[in-house]
Amino acid sequence: MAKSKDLKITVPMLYLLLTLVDGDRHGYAMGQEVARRSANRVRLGPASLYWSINRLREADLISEVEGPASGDGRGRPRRYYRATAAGLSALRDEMEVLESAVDFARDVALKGDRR
Amino acid sequence: MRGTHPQAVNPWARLIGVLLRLYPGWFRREYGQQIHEAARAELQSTSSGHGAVSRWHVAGDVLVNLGRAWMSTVRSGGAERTPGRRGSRLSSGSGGLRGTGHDLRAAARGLLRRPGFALLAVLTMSVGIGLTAAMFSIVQGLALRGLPLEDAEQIVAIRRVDPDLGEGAIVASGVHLLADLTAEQTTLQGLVGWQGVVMNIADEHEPAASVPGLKVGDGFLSLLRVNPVLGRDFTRDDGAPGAAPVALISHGLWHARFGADSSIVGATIRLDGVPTQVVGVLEEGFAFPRNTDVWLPLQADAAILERGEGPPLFLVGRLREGGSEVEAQTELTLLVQRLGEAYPETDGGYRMLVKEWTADFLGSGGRQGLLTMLLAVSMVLVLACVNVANLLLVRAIAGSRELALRAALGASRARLVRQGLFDALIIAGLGAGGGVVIAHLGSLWFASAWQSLVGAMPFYVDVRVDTGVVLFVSVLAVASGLISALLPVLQVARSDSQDLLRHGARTGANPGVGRISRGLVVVQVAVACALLVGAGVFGSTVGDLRGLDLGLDLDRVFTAALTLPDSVYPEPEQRTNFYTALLARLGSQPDIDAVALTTDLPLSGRGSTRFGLAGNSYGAREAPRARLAAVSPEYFDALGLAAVRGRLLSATDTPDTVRVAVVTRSFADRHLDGNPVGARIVLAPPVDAVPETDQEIEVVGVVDELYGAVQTTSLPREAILVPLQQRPQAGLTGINLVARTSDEPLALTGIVQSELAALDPDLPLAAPTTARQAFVTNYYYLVVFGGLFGVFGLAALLLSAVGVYGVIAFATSRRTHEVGVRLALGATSRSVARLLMRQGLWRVTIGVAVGLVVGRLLASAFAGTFGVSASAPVVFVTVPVVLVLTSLLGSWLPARRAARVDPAATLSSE
Repeated sequence: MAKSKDLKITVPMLYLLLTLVDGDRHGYAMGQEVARRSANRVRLGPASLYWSINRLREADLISEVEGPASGDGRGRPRRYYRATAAGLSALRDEMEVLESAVDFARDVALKGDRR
Repeated sequence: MRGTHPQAVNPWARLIGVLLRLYPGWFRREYGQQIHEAARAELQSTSSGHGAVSRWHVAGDVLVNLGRAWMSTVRSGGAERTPGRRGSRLSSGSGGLRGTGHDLRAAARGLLRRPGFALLAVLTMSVGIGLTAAMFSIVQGLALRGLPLEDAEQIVAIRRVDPDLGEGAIVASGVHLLADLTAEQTTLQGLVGWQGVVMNIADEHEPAASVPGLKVGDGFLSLLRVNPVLGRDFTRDDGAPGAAPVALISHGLWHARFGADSSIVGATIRLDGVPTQVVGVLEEGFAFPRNTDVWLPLQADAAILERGEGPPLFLVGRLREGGSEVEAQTELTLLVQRLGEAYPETDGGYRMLVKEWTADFLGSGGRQGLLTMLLAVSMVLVLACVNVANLLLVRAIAGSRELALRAALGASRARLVRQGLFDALIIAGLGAGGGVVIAHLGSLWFASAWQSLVGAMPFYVDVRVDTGVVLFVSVLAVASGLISALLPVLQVARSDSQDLLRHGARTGANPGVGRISRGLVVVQVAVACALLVGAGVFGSTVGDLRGLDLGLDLDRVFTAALTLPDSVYPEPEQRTNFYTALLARLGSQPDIDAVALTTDLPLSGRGSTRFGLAGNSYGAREAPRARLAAVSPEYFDALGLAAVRGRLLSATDTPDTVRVAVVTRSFADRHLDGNPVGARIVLAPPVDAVPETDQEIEVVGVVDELYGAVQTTSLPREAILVPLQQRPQAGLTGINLVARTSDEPLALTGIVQSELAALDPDLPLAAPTTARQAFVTNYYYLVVFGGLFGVFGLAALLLSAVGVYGVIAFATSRRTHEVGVRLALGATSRSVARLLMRQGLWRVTIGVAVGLVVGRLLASAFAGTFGVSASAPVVFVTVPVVLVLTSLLGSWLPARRAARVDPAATLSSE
């Protein structure tokens, strides 16, 4: 996946990818979920939200799928997003990096406590 | 706590909507709707809480990402960005084609499909942009770039002017004025006087040469903040009377004459025959004030000289930090007025002018002239834009069925508009490329024309295409592209797709646009006509000058200048003897029919003198002025001048005989009541006193005009000619040689040079040329600017012909059906062509009429600025005829084509 290598995955993007692990969502719902899961620490403005989504799509980390028709059934189908295989593997890579970072942090913190 | 204010959400939502509309198309189409919905939801949820901040947050977020989206669009070259959805959503209005990159490519393909059209449009744009940019580079080089010196904007020319002589009549300052101003002024950091001289340089290596020199006051280089690259600056002692002669030389002279040998510093050269030590070499490119090669210390002490004596000086100053020209001018004028009260004889009645250095060189007339030219050339650009607009319009109409089809299939109007815009921008972009080339060629032409007509440009003038010009071209190109796109885009935006589909190309889409397009013909023809009249007025004036029967036969007359240096020939007798010897030697040459010396060349001349009628007393500055030339006897023979009345000057008018003069016809008419012979005049009459009778000069004859065939200066055309022998003080600053030959005049150069060298090997001959060329050179600006204007006019003519062609072609293409019917009913193709052409012709007539009026105004403006004659009847007849003929040709071609259609084919195609 040459494309995903080009993309620097930011924290909001990471959160957005995570929201798709357990199923497809539409854009606004992804944003809401990010806010909820991060306890409002990560909040994406509407344009930032779709900008990040666009970046993820360009890198082929997520793809657009047709979702169910909206609310009253009259509207046109909402646009849902789904994590691609590349997206999931990028997510795993990112998690590994984060885990090592967390390990590192704990390690340092413990030493700091001892001092 | 605030309550929920749904109405408070609306303005924010609207703001978001506006911002979203500014996003790049691909992003907006893909996410605009969703972002808008999300933003509304955000606004709803936050309007109840700490709303204000969050609203700002939402709007700010949309704004920040707007920048991001465009940055990324630009970076990726506008390529298609959104993946995965190609062609899946026709209803979005893009019909599967979207993105800036796509539009650009589509526009380029469309242009390539019709290379003739594209080439015509690009060439048109190149000419418009190129000529404008060339003119801009000239304006920039002459007026905008300034001196290449540190804090150059502080450097000002300080002029003494005599309001009696007319606005801006400059009178040299003197050492006393300089000393007094220096002592009392407070608005300048420094003030230095200089005197321009022509120096004869001689040494053992090279033949003697005449170089422009400058005698400069103390502190000259430090005022300009220039340092010698070799050696040293002058010291105060160098300027003391009796100090050892020293000189600084220019970098250019050092290279050209001394092979860039650094041992020149300390070496001795002969300047005007005086052994002078070179103490330094100045920076490369420095030649202040214009093209100086040698600088000497000015040795003139106000304390020793009588007031009013001493060399004529020009002043250069440096404004104080933050000081203004106006401030300095006010102060200096005040000081000069005070001096005028103290010394009315020498200093009375003057004002001071302070101007930034390069502005002073151009003068207000020059600046005005340049602006007029820039205005004129921008008319060519407007013409080019109109043409391209018309071409695009024709194409848009021709393709209107396709447009309608696409609009019906869901292509958004915005998109069609954008494509039209891209067409125009591509044309403008390519035109800009061609424009830079044309501008480059134009600036080269200008520089070489100036060089051959006037000589070297001032050292700081640099007419070339640089980044500034390229930037200017880019702005022009974008602006021109947008202007050109306006019409076709309006056409698309206003057209009704139903209507288009129904009528197609036959009736055209929008009758309003047809009207605009035809109206443009009037504008085009008017602009072209005005420019051609302007060009014609210049051209006819230049032509007049070249072919003018001046009553003088200048074509067989050789002229040159020489200067007897004061240091070698200090006494008047020495000069007189030299002149006599030179004339005798040259007179015995078989190739020379007549030879003479004169202080002023005919039809040129640099200044004027006050004179009075004998027995009259004149107050300060009341005496009238006339030109004065001291001439040797054969002057009249050399120029082929005969006496209109009385006699000419002769060799028998010596210092021992009665002082005599010959005047021109205008002088006799104006000052001597037509009864000139025997009248007595006095040169430079004393103030408020009847002059002594021994000062009187008797007028012995009248000749035809020598000056003022074209009145371009405030100098009078009336002239007095006196015998050189009776005016030994004349010729101190140089004298002109005139020689008549039956052969090619320039062939005399060698002969004159060798005869001169036989008398004094250190004496160079300056500016050898023919008298007519010397005369034309005086009006170089007419030639240079007239030439420029000629180019503008020709371009305008060409462009308007193309424009007329375009419009008629457009109009006839819309009448194909009608033509078919007429032909089918038995009309001849000739009568049909005539019918079609008639449609264009009356608009051309209106355009010509308007253009003649505007052109007449333009010509009057030039008459004021350049001294051309505004009423050249030939021009006002020729220009309309040429324009009508070109327009006829422009409309005949498409009309003939339309009239040759096969009626059956036309009718059945509907």
